[in-house]
Amino acid sequence: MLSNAINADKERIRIKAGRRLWRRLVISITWVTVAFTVLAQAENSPVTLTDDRGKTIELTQPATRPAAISTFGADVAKAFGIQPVAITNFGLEGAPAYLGPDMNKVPSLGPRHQPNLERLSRIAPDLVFAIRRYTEKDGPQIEAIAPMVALDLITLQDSLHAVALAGDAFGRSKQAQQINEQFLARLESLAAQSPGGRTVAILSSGGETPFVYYDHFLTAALLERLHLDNGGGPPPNPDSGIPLGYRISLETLLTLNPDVIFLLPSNRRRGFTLNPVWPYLQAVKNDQVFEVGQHWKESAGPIARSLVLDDMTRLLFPDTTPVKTSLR
Amino acid sequence: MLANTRELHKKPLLQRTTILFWLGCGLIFLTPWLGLQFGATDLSWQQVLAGLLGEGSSHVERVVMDLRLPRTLIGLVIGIHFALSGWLLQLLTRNPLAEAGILGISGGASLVAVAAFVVGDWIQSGDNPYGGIPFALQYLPLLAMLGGLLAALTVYGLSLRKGGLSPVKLTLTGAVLAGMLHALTTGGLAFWGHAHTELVAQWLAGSLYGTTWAHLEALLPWTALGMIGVLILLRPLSAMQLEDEQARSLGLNLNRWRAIALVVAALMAASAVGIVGPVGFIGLLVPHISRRLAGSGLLVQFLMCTALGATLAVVADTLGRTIFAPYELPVGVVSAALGVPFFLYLLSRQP
Amino acid sequence: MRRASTETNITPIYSATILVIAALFLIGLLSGQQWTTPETLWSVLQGQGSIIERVSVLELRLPRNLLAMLGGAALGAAGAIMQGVTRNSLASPGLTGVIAAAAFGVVGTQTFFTPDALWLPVISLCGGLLGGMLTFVIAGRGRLQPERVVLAGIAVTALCTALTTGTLLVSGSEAAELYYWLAGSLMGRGWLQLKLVAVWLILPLVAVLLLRRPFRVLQLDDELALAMGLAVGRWRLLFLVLALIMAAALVSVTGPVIFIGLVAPHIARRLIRNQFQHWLPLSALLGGLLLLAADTLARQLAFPQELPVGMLTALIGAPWLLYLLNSREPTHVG
Repeated sequence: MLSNAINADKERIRIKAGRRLWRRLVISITWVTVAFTVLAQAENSPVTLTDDRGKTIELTQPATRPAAISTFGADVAKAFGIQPVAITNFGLEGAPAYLGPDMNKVPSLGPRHQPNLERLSRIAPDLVFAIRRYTEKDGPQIEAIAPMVALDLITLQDSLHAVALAGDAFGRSKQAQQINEQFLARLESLAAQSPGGRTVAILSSGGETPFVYYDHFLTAALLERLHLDNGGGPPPNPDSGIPLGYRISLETLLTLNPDVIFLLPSNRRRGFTLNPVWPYLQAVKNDQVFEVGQHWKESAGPIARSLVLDDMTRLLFPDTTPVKTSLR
Repeated sequence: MLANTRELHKKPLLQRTTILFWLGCGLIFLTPWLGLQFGATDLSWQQVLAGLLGEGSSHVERVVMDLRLPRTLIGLVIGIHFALSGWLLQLLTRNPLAEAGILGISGGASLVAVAAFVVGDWIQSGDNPYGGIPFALQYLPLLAMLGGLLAALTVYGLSLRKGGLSPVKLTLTGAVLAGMLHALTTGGLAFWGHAHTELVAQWLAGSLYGTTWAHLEALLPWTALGMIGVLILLRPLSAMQLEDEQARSLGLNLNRWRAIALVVAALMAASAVGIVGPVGFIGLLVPHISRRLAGSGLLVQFLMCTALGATLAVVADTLGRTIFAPYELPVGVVSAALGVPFFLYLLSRQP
Repeated sequence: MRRASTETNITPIYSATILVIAALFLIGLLSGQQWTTPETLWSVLQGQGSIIERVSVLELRLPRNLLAMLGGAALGAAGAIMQGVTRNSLASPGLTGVIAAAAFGVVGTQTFFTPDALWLPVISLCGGLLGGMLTFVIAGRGRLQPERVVLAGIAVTALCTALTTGTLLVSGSEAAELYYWLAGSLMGRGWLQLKLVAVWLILPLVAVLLLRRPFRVLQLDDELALAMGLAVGRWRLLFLVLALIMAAALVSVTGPVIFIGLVAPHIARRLIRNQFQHWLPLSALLGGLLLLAADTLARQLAFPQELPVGMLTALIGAPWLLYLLNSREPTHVG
C-alpha cells in the first residue's frame, strides 16, 4: 500500500516536473517567437520619410544599398556601418579619402551636379541620398531608378535632421539619435572650454577675391557655437539658406581683420594671398591661417562634422604647439 | 568630298535629289540606333532590342526606354530645329555665318534661365515646406523660350527701317544685343549663382542630360509648326535670294515674307533652346554642309538640313556621354569642338 | 547737334575729359568699404594715417584705379585702331573674337596647368591673336565687309565660349571661381596685376600715339595710301597686332570686358567732328574714363558687395550702340 502511495507521489512529482518543464518550454518558445516576430517586424517594417522638399518617400523595408549624390550619403552610411553602393566626386579629390580606403572601390557617378544616370541604373540602389540644390532639376529621372531623399545639407539643423532621417531610412533611428546627441554633447563641452572673443573667417576660392561664408553655413555655425564670431555675418534671407556666402573685398577683410582664417582647398595658388594687403591681416601676422580639407565644405555627414570638430579643437584650442600648415 | 560633290552636281537634278533623299532617310533611321547602343553602360544589341520590346531587365528597360530613347529622339528633334533655324537665317541675312545666336535668342534664353534659377532661390524661402517647388524647373523651358523670343523681337524691332527689314541691320543689331545678353548672363551667374554654378553652367552649355518624354512632348508641336512654316516659305525664299528690287518685281511682299521667315526661325530656335539650352554650332555647320551637297535647290537643302542636323546632334550627344563616362560633355561643347576642324576647312576654302 | 565752325576747338573736350577722369579717380580713392575723407586721403599720401587707411588707399584703391584708367585707355585705343585700320566701325576687340579667345586661353591653361602668373598675359595674348586672326581670315581676306567681320567674330566668340564652358565643366567645383573671372572684374586687382600688364599696355599705347601719321593715312583709301608711299599691308598688320596685344593683355588680369573698345571710339568720333588726328588719343582717354566710371559704379551699386564690371560695361555700352545703329548706317569711317 505504501509503495503504491510512493509510486503515486513519484508519478505526481514527475508529472508536475513535466508540466513545469512543459510550461517553461511553452513560455520560452512564446518569448522566442514574440522576440523573433518583433525583430522581424523591425527589419521588414516599411519606412516613411519626409525629405527637405516636403516629399514623402515610402520604403518597404529599411535601406541596405544606399547611393550618395554628394558625400553626405556615403558618410552617414559608413557611420552606420553600411557600405554605399555609388558615390559622386568629393570636390577635386574623387573618392572621399576621409571615409577610408575602401571608398576607392565604390563606383563613381561623376560630378554631383550631373550624376550619371545609366551607372546609377545599373547599380540599382534601394535609396539615394541627394543634395537638394543640385538634383532637384533631375529629380524625377533619379526617382525612376530609386527612391530619392533630397537634403539641404547647409546648416547645423540640416545636418542633425539629415542624420536622423538617415537613421530612419536604415532602421536605426535610435543609433542616429545617439550619434546626434553625442555630437551635440561634444560641441557643448568644447564650447564650455572656449573662452571666445575671437573673430574667424572661412574663405574659399583660388582667385583674387576670396569668398566668405555666412553664419548659417555648417562649419561657420559650429564656430559660432564655440563662441567665436564668424566674419561672414548673418545671411540675407535666413529661410532660404542660399546664397551660402559672398565675395568679400580685401578692403572689407582688412577692416574685419579676423583673428583666425580657415582656407578651403583650392587647386591654384590663391591670388588673394599674394596681394600686398595679405600680410597686414593680423591672422597672417600671428600665423593663424589654416588650410583645411574638403570636409569643411561638405560637412553635414556624421564623420565629416566630427573631423571638423577635431580640426577645430586642434587648431583653435591647442594643448600643444599647433601644427603649422604651409600656405601655397 | 569635293570630288564627290562635283560628281553629285553633275548628275541630273532628279537623280541627285533621289540620292540625297535616301541618304537623308538613311541617316535619320540609322543614327538613333547609335544613340541607343552606346552610352555610359555597355549594352549588347540584343539587350537594346529586348529593352525596346519591353522584355529586358529593369536596368535595361530604364536605360533604353527612360534614358537613351527619349534623349536620342529629342536630340534628333533639336538638331532639326537648330539646323533649320540656322539655314533660314543664313538665307535671310544672305550671310553664311548667321545662326540663331545672332538674333539674341541664345542670349535671351540664357539670361532668363539664370534669372529663373536666382529668383527660384529667393522664392524658395518661407516656412511652407511645399513652397520649395522648384520654380525654376517647372517653368524653365517656357521661360527660356519666352526670353529667346523677346530678344528676337527686340532685334527685329530695332532692325526695322523705313523700307522694311534690313538684313545687315539685323546682323549688327543682333550681334550687339547678343553680346550684351551674354555679359549680363555671365555676370548674373557669377554674382548670384554661386550655390549652383555647375548646374546652370551645364544648361548654358546646351545639354541633353536629364531630358525626358515630357520634354519631347513639349517640343513636337513646335517642330510640326516649324516644318510647315518652312515648307510654306520655300518658294518665297528662293525669290528672296535675288536682289530686293528684282524680288519685288516678281510680286513678292518682301517685308511680310522676311518677317515670317524670321518668326519661324526664331520659334524653332527658341523652343529648342528652352529645352536644352543654347547649342550654336549645329545651326552654323549644317546649312553649309547641306548647301555643299544639295546645290542650289532649296527643297533639297531643306531635306539635307533636317537629316544632317538630326544626325549631328545625336552623334555629338552620344560621343559626349560615352567618351568620358561617367562624365558627360554637353552636346553644345562637342558640336563646338567638331566645329573647329570645320572652321579650318572654311579657311582653306577662302579665295 | 549745333552746326559748329569747321575747326572745332578741341581743347575744351580734352580738358573736360581729363577733368572727369580726375574726378572719378578721386572718387575711386575716397570710396570703398568706408568713405575716406579728403583730409585722411591727404595725410595718407603724405605717409601718415592708420594702417587700414594707408593700405586701403595705397595698396588697394590706387593701383585698381590706375589699372582701370590704363586698361580702359588700352581698350579704347585698341578699338579705335581696329575701326580705323579696317574701316569698319563695328570692329572692336569684343566683336572680333579677340577677347573671347584670350579668355579661353587663360581659362584653359589655368584648368589643366598651374602657370606662373607672369605667363598669363602672354597666354592671353596668344589666345587673342589666334582668335583675331581666325576672325579676319574667316571673314574673307579680301574686302572686309563689316557684317562679315562681325558675324565671323561672333562665330569665333561662340566657339571660344563653348570651349571655355566645356573646360569649366571639367574643372568641377572650381567652375564658380572661373565663372566669376569670366564676368570681368577689377576686384582685388592691385600693384601685382598692374605691374604684370603695364608693359603690355603702355608700350603699344605709346607706340600707336607716336605713329599717328601712318594711322591717319591708313584710314584713307588703300590706293591713296599707297600713292602716299605707305606700305599699307605691313602697317595695317602692325597696328592690328598692337591693338590685339593691348586688348588681350588686359583680359589676362581683368577677364573679358567688352564694349569699351566699341563705344569709346564712337563717342570720340562724335566729339571731334572732323579733326581726325585727335581721334586716337581721345578714344584712349574716353576708354579710360568709361572703365573708371564702370568700376566705380560696380563698387557702389551693390554695396557692400561688388557687381562684376563686365555687366556694367555691357549695360552701358549696348543701349548706346543700339541707338547708334539706329541713327545711321555705320559702315565707313571718316
